[in-house]
Amino acid sequence: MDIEEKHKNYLKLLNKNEKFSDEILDKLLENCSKALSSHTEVYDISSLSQDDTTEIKQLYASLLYVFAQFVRNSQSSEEFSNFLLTECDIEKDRAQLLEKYYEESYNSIRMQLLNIGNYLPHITDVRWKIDYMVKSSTWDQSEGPIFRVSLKTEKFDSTLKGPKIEFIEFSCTGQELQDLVYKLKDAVRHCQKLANNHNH
Amino acid sequence: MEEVDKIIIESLRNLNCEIDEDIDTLKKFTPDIVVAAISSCLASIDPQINHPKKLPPSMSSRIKFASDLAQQIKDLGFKGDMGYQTILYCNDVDVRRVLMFLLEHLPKESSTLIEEPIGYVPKIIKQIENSLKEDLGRFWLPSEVCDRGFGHCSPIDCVDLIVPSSVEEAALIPPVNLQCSTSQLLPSLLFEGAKVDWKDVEITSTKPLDDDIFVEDIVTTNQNTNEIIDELKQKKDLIIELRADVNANKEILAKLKQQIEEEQQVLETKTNTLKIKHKTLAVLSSEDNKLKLRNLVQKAENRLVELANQWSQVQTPLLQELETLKNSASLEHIETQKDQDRLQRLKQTHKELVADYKDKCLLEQGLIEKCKDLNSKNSRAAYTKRILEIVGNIQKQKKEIQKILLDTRRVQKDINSLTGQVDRSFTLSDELIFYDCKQEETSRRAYKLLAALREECNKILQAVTDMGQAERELRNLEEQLEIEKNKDFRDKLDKVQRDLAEIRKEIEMLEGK
Amino acid sequence: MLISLRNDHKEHLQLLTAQPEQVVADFCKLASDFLENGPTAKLFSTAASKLDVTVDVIENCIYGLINLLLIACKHQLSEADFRDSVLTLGFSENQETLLSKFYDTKKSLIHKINTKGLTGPHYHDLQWRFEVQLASRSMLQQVTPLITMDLALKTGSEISHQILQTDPTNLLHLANELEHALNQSRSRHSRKVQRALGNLQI
Repeated sequence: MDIEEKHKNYLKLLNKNEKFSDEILDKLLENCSKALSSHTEVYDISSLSQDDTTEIKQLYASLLYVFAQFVRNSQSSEEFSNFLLTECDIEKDRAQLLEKYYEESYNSIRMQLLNIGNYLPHITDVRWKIDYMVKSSTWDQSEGPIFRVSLKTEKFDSTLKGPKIEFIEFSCTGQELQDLVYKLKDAVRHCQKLANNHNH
Repeated sequence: MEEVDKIIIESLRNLNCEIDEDIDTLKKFTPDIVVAAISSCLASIDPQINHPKKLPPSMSSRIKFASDLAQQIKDLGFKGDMGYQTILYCNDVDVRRVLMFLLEHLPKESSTLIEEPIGYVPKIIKQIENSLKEDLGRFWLPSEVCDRGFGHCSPIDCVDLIVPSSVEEAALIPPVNLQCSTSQLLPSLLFEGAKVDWKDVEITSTKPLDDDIFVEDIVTTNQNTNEIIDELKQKKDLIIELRADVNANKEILAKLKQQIEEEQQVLETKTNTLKIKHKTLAVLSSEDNKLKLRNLVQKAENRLVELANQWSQVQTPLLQELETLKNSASLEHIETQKDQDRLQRLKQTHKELVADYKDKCLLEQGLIEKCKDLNSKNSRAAYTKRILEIVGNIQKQKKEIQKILLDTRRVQKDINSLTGQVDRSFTLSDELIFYDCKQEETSRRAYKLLAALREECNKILQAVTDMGQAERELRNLEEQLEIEKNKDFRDKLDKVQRDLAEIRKEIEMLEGK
Repeated sequence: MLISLRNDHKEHLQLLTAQPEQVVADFCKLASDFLENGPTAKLFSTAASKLDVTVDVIENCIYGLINLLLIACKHQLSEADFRDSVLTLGFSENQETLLSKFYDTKKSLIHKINTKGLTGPHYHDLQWRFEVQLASRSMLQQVTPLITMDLALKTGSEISHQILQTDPTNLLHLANELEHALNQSRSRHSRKVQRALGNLQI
């Protein structure tokens, strides 16, 4: 994994103690982990610096970038601080502060990264009911049970900017449901076998 | 046997079994120590078994506890005689056998290591296993409350993020996270330049193209937006240029202001000097003042000469004193120089000594470690050495036994030849005398005497062999006696009787209850 | 149970009662051809010319015959009931045996057509595959187990495929829920309901 020189240079701004006090850095990092975890930010970046906001914006952009990139590559917090110390020459206590925030926000950033991608409609729930047909226009005899199954699926919709829930509905007879359940149980058994592979 | 005992005791100590330092053979083992040893052996063979390491106080529970232990040892496959008596009324031979058996059954250390998968594929498989285990064990929740919703998985959606590079830009450009929506932030950070304009793609792919006007519309709006963007860019550039101009002008202004200040200062100093010069000129203009000034100057000159004389008077003794002091100082200096040299030398020797000391310390440490190593290792080496020695001894003894056997065989041969000789000489003399005895009376007597002599001799021989046998038997019996004495049955019998009495007492007590 | 027909229906069938057995057999053939291939004007017109009636009459007669079968099937008439119903319509006994045979052979076909009437998508087949996602562009190292399924649904005679996926937790939930449904249908309560509904018929 290579981090571009431009980001390294921006990160070196961390050593400017007189410009970025510990307090400012703390706020910056808290914002960073919040923004990457899809939460709303706590502080206004522009107000953290008095007059010239160039450097704080540059630093902030690079902080966001390295956090995201290191999590994307599943790097440990040790590797992260090692990078800061050796490749960016960050002072030790600053690097430790960054490492702390990295460790804290690692899982939520990872979750966000995992949630990027194209997936098929995902089944998240199922509803069912059992019907008995008492009489119909073409059929005098009662019939049943008939199972009405409704699979709840979710898929990201770009216009909704969120999951679009769709129900796939179908009916089946007892025998057919038996077949379906058998196939699903087969899949479950397969998973369970894989999960317990090491114990046997 | 002592060597074996030492090995056993050493191994037991390794099992955290407390055995006093002064116990070095199994003969000194008390039932308590035997129980502790067996318990700790059993505990390390099967960690689930956890026995107390001491005998209970009550006699009946003692027997029960001891038979439990005995049963477990038998379950492990011990073939010999094993019961509570082996533990409670122990003798060293049985205890040795049991402990050797148990120590052989101790688990090997290597088997306790847990296997960790190595390599990429096994690691992945392990991860899959773990994740499946976690997934299958997790309680099902509706997707609305789940963290990882596949429904929330959005495709990569990027925008170009702009990082300001100058003050002017920074004033206009918000921080990167405000340049896009929260869901766009991560992909935009990570995949710079991978921007895909989804809206354009969607329009061209979903709308039918036969609608010419529509397409034109799009094109014109696109063109319009492009024009606006161009215009904006130009304006932005203009603004940046103008700002730069303003800044340059500001700088020039500041410089000019500074220059003005500096010049004003110069002006002030010059006016000051001018004022002073004006005053002095006014004073010097009158004649009276000039005379007064001359007198003043004269007086000052006189005073100066006087002061010089005074000074020389004061100076000469002081100079002398200075000379002497300098001399003494130089002497002292020489002395201190010497002292310093000495100190230097001392320091040197001190340094050397310290280095020496350090070397010695290191050597000592190394030796201590080596000693430890030796101590830990030497048991094995020493034992093999001892074993080799013992083997050598045995060989030596074997040779001696061989020698003695040869000796006895030679003696036996001698005896055999001698008896043969005796027999032969006897028959010869018998024949001779028998031949003569027909003629002579004395010969007859001699023959009779010979017969008696032969009988007596035989008797003596018999007696000697009997004696030898008796002696051998005696020795056997003595040995047996020694063995019996070693077993000290009396003590044990006494102990058994005491225990029996105690059990009776307990039983009575129980009955009384 | 006897079935009663509307008067115009009876009239349409009246044509057959007067015909010899051979013609009734031919009509049965025509009707079965109609069931399988739909109306064929050519056959109708030849029949009309043979019997010397208009095509309409032939058509009505065929429709009437098929309608008779549909009604009989709807009520699930036994052989005896069917015979009685046909006889009351004025058919001779020989004609009745021909019709009974026709009813017997077409019963299952008509049943199939009837049940197709009002059903939405119906379960047809399911195939699954277990996958593990090991990397994605945004997360280079991950282990995401997924189960991808191809759910085949049948609407009428058309089979549509739904490609879906789920994760093990949801799969377990899905399997358990559906198994629960299956067990529910076998519970005492359900059986009671089923029996009660069966009795309602009589």
